[in-house]
Amino acid sequence: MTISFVESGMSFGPYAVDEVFPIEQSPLYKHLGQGLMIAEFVLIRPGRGESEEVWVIEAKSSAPRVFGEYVDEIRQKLTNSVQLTLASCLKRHPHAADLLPARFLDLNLGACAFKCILIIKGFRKEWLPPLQSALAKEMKSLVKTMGFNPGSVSVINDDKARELKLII
Amino acid sequence: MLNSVELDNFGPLQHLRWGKLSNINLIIGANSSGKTFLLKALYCSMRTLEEYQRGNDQRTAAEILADKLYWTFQADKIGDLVTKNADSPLACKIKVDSREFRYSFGRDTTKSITSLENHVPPRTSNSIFLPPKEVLSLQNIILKSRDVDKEFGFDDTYYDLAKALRTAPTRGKNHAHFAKARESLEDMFDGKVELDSKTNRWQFKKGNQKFPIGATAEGVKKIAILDTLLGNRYLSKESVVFIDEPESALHPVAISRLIDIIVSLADSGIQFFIASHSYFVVKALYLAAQKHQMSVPVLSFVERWSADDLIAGMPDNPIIDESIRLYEEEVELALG
Repeated sequence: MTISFVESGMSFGPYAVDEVFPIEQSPLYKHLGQGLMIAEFVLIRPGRGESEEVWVIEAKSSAPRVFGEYVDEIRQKLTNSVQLTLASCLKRHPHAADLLPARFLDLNLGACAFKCILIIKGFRKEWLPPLQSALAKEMKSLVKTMGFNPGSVSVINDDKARELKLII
Repeated sequence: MLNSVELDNFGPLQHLRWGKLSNINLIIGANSSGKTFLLKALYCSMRTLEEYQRGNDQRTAAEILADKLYWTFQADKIGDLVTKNADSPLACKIKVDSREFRYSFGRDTTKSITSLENHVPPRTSNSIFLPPKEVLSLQNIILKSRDVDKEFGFDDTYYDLAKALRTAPTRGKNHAHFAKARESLEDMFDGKVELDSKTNRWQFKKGNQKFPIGATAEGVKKIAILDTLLGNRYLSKESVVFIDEPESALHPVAISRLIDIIVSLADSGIQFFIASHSYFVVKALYLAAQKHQMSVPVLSFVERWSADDLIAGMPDNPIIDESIRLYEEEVELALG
């Protein structure tokens, strides 16, 4: 069984239902109350070799207007999403086991790679590298404290997302 | 291999500690932060160790070092290298192949270094300093200025390079890594620079065409220098190559290719110290560190010197900060 959805003007999917955690729509997030920013969804993807990767996806239909605020907002969303996903997988939240898609409960949390990805629709390719550098810099403390690989933060446009089969 | 460096009161470098050095080491920082100074300080030490007891040279290590410092930094007296207002002498301690070499002197020193300790065995390698500007078109002028006129102007980094390029190419099979690197270097500009033995002038050869060196692009000349030093066997696997601003005169695509070649040469044993302002150099080295899971120690200057490693991520640095600022400016112009 697969799932597809539209977000920020992009058609995401189809993904296997048990591999996608629609974190923004999840009761796990909604029960936390207002004031906490969160990414769109979290996806399990095959990694290199036998390992799996967890991709935290934030989608945007617009380019930054106020650069610093934009980068900080994305940082908060991605950081909160990583933390909530990990906490849910560890069943730190009530009912997490019932609310998480099945495959997330089987993740090897100590070994799987986490990737934080911002997708911006219609964003010019030449604008991507500096935005990626800025976001990577903002997220360095999370990447370091979580033991993620240094290249775990990516900013891509819809062309690249299509190439990666994230959208159709 | 240079393993670590400790400098105190060495010109703009008041207190610098850099350890766990690798085959490729990067220095980044704004203008006048002391990057070139550091490269030159290390170069002087390495050349002292390499010239000491070579052939029939009877000079002591202290004599070689004093001479090297004098002609490299071209101060009236080497004591002028001591940091202004410092309350202790200039001190340098490096480890080469895990053995120590250290010296120190005060501001009144004219040419005689009395405190020097060397535990590094004599070396047969040749280290080299590649300055930002090419030297091929100035080679004869540099040699005359130093050999005949004995004048300040071209420091020892230029003079030594001009002499090294004079060494004739060696026939026979070169080290595999070196041969491959030369192919890649010559590939970058679809040709090679050679010394015309009849006219004793450098020329750029592309297919059947020959161009005088004066009419050859700066980037080609720069790449040709490394190619020549690999071809005439001046460089060996034990050499240390100091490159000041590899990006100067090079297109970003050429920079990336040069970094690939440097990574391959480093793999063969050559040690590199690179000082750079370039986003492309830093990014290309960061990617190389990730791709090859290779340590690339980076010393960066933002208010003070701090040491990181590109294998652990991009360090905070003004080069990236400026690229972000330019991006913001561009977005503001386009969408604001």
